Amino acid sequence: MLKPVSRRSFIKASAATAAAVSLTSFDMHSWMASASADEKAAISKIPTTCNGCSSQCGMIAYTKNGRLWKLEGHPDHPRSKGTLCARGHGYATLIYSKERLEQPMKRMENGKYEPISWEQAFKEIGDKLKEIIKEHGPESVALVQDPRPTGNVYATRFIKALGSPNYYTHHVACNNSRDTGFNHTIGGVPSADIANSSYIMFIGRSYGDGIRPSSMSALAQAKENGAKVIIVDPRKNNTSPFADQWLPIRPGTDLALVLAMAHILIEKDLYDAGFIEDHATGFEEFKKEVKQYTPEWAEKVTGIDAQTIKTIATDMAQLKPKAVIEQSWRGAFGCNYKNSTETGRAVALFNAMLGNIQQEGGYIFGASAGLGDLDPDQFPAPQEPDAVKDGEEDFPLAPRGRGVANIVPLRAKEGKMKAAFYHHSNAALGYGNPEYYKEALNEMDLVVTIDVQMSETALLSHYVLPEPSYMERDDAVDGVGGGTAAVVLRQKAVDRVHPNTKPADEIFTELAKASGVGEYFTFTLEDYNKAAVEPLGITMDELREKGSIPLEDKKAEIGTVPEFNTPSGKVEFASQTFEDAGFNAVPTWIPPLVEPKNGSYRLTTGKQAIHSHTQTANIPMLMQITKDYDLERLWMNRQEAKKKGIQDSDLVEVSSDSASSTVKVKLTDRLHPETVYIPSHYGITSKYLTTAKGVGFSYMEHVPFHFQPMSGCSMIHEVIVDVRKVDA
Amino acid sequence: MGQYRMLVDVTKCIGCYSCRVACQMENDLPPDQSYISFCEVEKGEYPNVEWVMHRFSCLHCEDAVCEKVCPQNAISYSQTGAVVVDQEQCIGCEYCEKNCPFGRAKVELCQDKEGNSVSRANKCTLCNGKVLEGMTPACASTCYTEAIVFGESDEILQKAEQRLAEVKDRYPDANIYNPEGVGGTHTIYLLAHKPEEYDLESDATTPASAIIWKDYAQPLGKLLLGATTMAVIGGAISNRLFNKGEHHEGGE
Repeated sequence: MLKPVSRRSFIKASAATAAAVSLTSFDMHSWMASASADEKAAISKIPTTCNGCSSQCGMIAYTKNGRLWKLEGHPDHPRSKGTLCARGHGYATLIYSKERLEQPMKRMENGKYEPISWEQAFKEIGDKLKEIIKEHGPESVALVQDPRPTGNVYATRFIKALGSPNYYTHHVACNNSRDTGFNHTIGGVPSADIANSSYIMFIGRSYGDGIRPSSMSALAQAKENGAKVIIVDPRKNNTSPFADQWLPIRPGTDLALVLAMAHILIEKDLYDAGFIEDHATGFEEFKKEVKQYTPEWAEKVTGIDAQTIKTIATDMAQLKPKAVIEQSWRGAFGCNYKNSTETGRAVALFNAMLGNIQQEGGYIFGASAGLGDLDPDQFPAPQEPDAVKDGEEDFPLAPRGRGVANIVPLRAKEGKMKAAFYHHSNAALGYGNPEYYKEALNEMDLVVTIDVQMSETALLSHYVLPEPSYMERDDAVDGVGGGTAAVVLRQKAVDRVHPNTKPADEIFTELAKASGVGEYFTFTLEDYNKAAVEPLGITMDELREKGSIPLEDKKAEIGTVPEFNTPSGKVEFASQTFEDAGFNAVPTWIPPLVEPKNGSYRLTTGKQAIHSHTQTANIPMLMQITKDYDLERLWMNRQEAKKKGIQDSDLVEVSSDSASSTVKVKLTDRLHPETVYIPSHYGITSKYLTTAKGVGFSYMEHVPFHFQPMSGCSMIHEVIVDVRKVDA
Repeated sequence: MGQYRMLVDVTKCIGCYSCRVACQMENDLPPDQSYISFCEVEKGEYPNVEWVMHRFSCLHCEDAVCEKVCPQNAISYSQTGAVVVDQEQCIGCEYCEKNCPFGRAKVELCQDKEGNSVSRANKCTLCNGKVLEGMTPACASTCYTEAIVFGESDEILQKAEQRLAEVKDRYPDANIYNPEGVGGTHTIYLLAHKPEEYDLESDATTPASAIIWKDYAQPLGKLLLGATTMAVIGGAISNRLFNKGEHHEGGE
């Protein structure tokens, strides 16, 4: 399974580099030195999973004398396939960060945080929670998380046990819009079979920036096989070495491009009529609607010439079903624009017109792992709460399970939401306007954050509960869906550095007991894990040894079109559900909410390969790369900068209706002149995160607190800014 | 002639920095020391622009200037083809750093076994210890786009030629950077543009003066003046004899 390794080689390597330890960074040198200096180091290999982003790749952790040395991608994990990105390697050094949470903290009356015991924390939180529920009902309590395996089991059960329906995820600022569009057209979000495709269009999504190693290697494979790759993005992103063509689209107009491409397929009769006949409804209505969306019209809207649009649509039709518009993730229509949900619908429907669903080189709905669950007789599950999740009536199309997390601060300001738990979530900097979040969370009677570091959200909380890092704990067993599903385990690679931290399973169990609902938490994590693997015919011992196990009997069936998870069971070109919610049944052009004019710019944002959300910014191993290469700079089109007398690396002020920020500028020809672009990981304000604080700015400071009408997402690109040179 | 080579194909690099971090972890380097540096090249004007990222580390020359100028014989050739530093022998005199035609040898503050702060030459080892055990260098083994590949010398040279033919349409100036002036190198580059675009000299060479220094002057000087005296005066002499290569760094 793994590359052959002899212990001797590590000893040799460590002896060669034993002296090569810097004095300039105390964090690293102290642990690296002690990990490497001993030539008789005991080397261990532990298979586990990364927490550097939502992909949670499998990896092999190497330890020397019980301290982390290095990591490799797990060869059997479907997302790493033997390699890891920079975050995969570097984020694990979180273990030895000097700025982790080490014990429970309580905000005192003077606003300062002081350490308290776990017993006190659980008792006070439990008492307060019971009081709030008694007075305002369980609907006044919410729980928000960026889901991870243990949280998926314990946090969801905890909020349900309290009787509250108000469970939310980070997707409000990630891919809720896309999913809303896909769910109501093709009944879910499949994955593009990139490696086998002949013609791939990416809209906003950049495999080279928001990295999942297996996706990037699949794209390299496709290129080697001769696939044509088109990037639609206002920014010539880091996937561009693997692209044949860059379409620098006006930001926020992707919907017009896709509607015009659909127009061409219909006008030239190039779509898969057989597929539409057998598997779709509402196509006639859709046909009528898109008649007006000519390539000439789209050229005016998008800035992409009509002939290019015609050629691409025609070429894709000729190569169908091995042609695909990749499903994207956060960019460009995950949560970005007023029209993002419609873009999601249009993209899903264009793929359906190519008849590529469940076809090689097209869209594949993956197989799921089919994990088991706790025996409900032995461990009774809490009942589904009677009340409707807050926000569901306002945004009935949004994904139900995930909800609209920004409803929490809105309701807090209205005085309706009284308590909130934030687990593995920096909502106050990541989900919506930070000023708004600050005001809102200050209105609440109880805010509890469970995290590994003192985030901006933690600093708005009454209690902060520390978890061990993901390298120091066991998590719940997880299933990974895909072409071949897999079962995976995150497990402890090193002993806890801070013994007074507790993993989420223990925290939620104790919180439940203290809140009077302990009867739903009589099981242990190991009980759950045994139940999870039981139907797979795999033991926990095997899973611990291997870390990631592909399930050869859980493969996606290719070539057979499934029944779609929609009300009609078919692809819905016209949706009654949309009409019932007060929107058009068929996708319709919607212009972006705001437009730049007279020398102002749309502020756009996206991921860098070395960071994830705001959680990695305080990791010296990763932040040093930002500092070495000034990666926190604002991108600006070179000609635009010239007009304003701005030169490369000048300090500029970026101002919007919401905020003003100062940052250095990077001049480039890789950017559409109507936009300026800022990487999305910076602008940390927490004084407890000194490596990150003061580097760059957060785009979210400029995003007004608003909701996309269909999905409730944050519309993070609906921001206009002015940029001016700051005089020295 | 060593057995192995590494090919860095800049046309496949997406600038993800995974190789840098994997290398730092493998070699126990702190965050602010890296054997790998990056620069980016943007050619053309919006919207007709090409972007290429260049990941750069020690080339492991066949006729390595650093090996020749080292007064301590602390730099040597491994059987794998790597040029390696013995930090036990290194005295941190910086001759290697000042004379590397590619600016790759670096002298940095390190900590010795007694915990003392010392200056030592510190550069890519081509993961010599791993390679001796039949494994792949850390950077190559984590590269998902295969922008970094490692293997038998001849196979890598063939691979480079094959890739050069494949990328010529898109990058007419593409070339293989494997400078003969230093006897060829064990890390070779497929460059998308002329070497000068990456601040590399097309005709990088091992200066005759370095050869004279290593093979004639040093042994003679040590004989006449003693090793210590020779090491002390060597810095001044070598700095005048050889030019320091400079490289800009940067990248997104």
